[in-house]
Amino acid sequence: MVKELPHNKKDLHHEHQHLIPNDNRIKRLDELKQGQHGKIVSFHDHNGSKHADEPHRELKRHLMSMGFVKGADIKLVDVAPLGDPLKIKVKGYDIALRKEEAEDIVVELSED
Amino acid sequence: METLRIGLAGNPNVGKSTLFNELTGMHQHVGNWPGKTVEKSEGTHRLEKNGKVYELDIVDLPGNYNLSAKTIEEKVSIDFIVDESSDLIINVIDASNFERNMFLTVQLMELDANLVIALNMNKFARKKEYEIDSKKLSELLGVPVVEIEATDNVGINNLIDEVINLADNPINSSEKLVYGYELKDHLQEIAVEIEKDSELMDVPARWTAIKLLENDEVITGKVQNSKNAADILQAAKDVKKHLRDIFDENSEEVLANARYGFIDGLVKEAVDKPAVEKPDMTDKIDKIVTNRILGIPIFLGIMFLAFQLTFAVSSPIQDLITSFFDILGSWITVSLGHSWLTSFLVDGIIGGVGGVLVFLPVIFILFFVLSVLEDSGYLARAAFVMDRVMHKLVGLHGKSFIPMVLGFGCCVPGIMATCTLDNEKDRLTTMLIVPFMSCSARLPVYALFTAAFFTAYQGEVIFSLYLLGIIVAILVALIFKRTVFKGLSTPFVMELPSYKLPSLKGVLIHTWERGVVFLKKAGTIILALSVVVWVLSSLPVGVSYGAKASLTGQIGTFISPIFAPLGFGQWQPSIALLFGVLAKEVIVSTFSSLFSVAQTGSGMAVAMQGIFTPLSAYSFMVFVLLYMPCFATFATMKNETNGWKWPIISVCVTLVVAYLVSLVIYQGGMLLGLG
Repeated sequence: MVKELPHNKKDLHHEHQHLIPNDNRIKRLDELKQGQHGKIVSFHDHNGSKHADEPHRELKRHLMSMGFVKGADIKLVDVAPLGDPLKIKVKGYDIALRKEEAEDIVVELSED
Repeated sequence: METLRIGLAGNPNVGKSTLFNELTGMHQHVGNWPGKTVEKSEGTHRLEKNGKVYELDIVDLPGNYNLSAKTIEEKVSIDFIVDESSDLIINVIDASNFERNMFLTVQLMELDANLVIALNMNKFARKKEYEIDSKKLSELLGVPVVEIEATDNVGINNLIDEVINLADNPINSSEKLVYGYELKDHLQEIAVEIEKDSELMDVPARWTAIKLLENDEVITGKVQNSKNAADILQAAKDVKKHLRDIFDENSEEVLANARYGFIDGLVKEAVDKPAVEKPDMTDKIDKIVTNRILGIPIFLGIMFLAFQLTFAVSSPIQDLITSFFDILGSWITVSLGHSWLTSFLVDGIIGGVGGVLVFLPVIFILFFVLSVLEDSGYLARAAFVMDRVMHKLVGLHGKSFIPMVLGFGCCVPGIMATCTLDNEKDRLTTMLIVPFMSCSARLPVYALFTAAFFTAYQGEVIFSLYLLGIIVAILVALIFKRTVFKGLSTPFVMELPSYKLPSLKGVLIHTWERGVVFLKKAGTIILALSVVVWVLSSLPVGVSYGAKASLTGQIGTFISPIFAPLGFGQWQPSIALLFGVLAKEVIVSTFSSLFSVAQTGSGMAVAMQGIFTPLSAYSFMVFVLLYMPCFATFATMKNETNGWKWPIISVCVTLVVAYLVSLVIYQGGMLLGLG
């Protein structure tokens, strides 16, 4: 009844571990152009850096509860008139996210 | 008669409140959760079934996306669900947002709640070409599912039938919740250790295990105090390491994936959705409303409309109320003659009560407007458009803009509008700076002083005061964000819900509730304080009301030296400021009665010029701009924050800021030779 989804994610991670700057299908969420969409590949954990603090972990938890999980389809619908925040579509609904928070999300652009 | 205690749980914007209103109608009241600033709506619904009378005691829990016990709203919900005295939970789900809504549902199932799902907004779902097989869903979840359309009052009776069933035959909703990703066995490993300590078993062991894997601070702390702490925490640690080794992700991510994995399974079997999401009405409207060019003009237009509606419409009604009380006051004076009793009735009671009632039109209309904006979904777009300004400039949320705009009319609705802010720290910071927005009650003061001292530049001077208020507000907000509220910025992650036509019934009920709350609570405080002021102004016996010889006058005279460095250390300004605490409009009338001149006409200007210079006049206006919120604002803050702490802090902050800024202006001006 409830199927087990493939759970060996190690392959996926290795593929993106050294984010190749000139692999132009891998982008940060805030780098997407209007209307582009893709699948979430990873979150920057900021391990060890000054960003690896409670608010950032909180943000990640909050985003996960809102549907931002690896493999989820995500689309940049629009940008606010003043340039920030971004309007994102995930799991079928719209959400506003600031650029500085969108930077943490890495997306693999879908072909189309 | 059987009483059932029921909680309504669900994401924000799913129609929970609409359902609540349908179920409870006028039998509801709004308050706060004990000791917290979160609003609590509670109501009752009576029915008879199978010859038995039931009273459903329904609590509208705060909207949650998650049950991680991090925010007050989540804690309140978890506490209710876990509480022995609660009988069941109705989980309201927005069918058009199925997947994300289910994330909360699975967490309710983790808690083993006695659960029924109310599948709402099926109309929207169908427009998006979603089809949900509720029978299949119910089978898969092991939880009853009832289709409703809260706004149309459809399916409510079915829901109530199911509720009665559940009350008589409670279920264990966690039975069919099976997580893949190897979690089932791992959770069991931890649960086994937890079960050894009966004190931890007030909640399902598996739930505690899940929380440990989620690094939940509250639960981890609870476990640390357990007698089996070492074994439990070691088991959890081992599992976390194992998960990391297999999945190369931390346990929190594994859990989130597991939940969505379960949900994906549900979707595959019970939900039919189109291959590509179609753009719906909401997307089309947003193309215009959040448009790069039109977005801000539309926003300003709607703000202007909201402001006008709130103040322009309520103003004539307020005048009517004021006139009514004037007439009443005159009638009493004529009937009873001049006496202590007359003064008590007219100056004390009518003054006090009138001072409260005069706000009612503003509040009712404000809440009507705010409810329409919020329920329709526009409020989120307003915050979306203005967020950059609020965030970069003031460190606040886009939603803080509206309370501040309203504050230009009156602080009371401005403070009440902060209820739309989800984050408590943002809410408090906004509340603290709204009083710096120059409210309309201060205008008579500006008009008087600029006419007397800045006749050629009235407009410019008044504008400078408004601007100064905004600048001070921004600075104070920045200071607070760096000190008291430091490091507590929550991420700006705000859902943009679909546009909906607000339910008129819901809006009216909500508006009425708010108005009544204001009347009862703020009203009591304002009345009490007004009576105190009356007493101080009428003693010693035989003194002319509010004159220099009265207690108020004596207090004013006593404190007047404090204002000397600000340029207005005389007794008249001091007394005027004291009365201004009651309401800012009173400042002008106080001056006129103290000088015994009419408020209009040149007599006033001459009298003012005897006490003030242009520089000290400006410094005085600045003080009036910034000092102490009026009684009504004070009372409203007490209501909204559910305590005296923050209103008192607001009083202190505004007094200090007012004093410092006036001081700088006066002394600076003297140094520059402007005095």
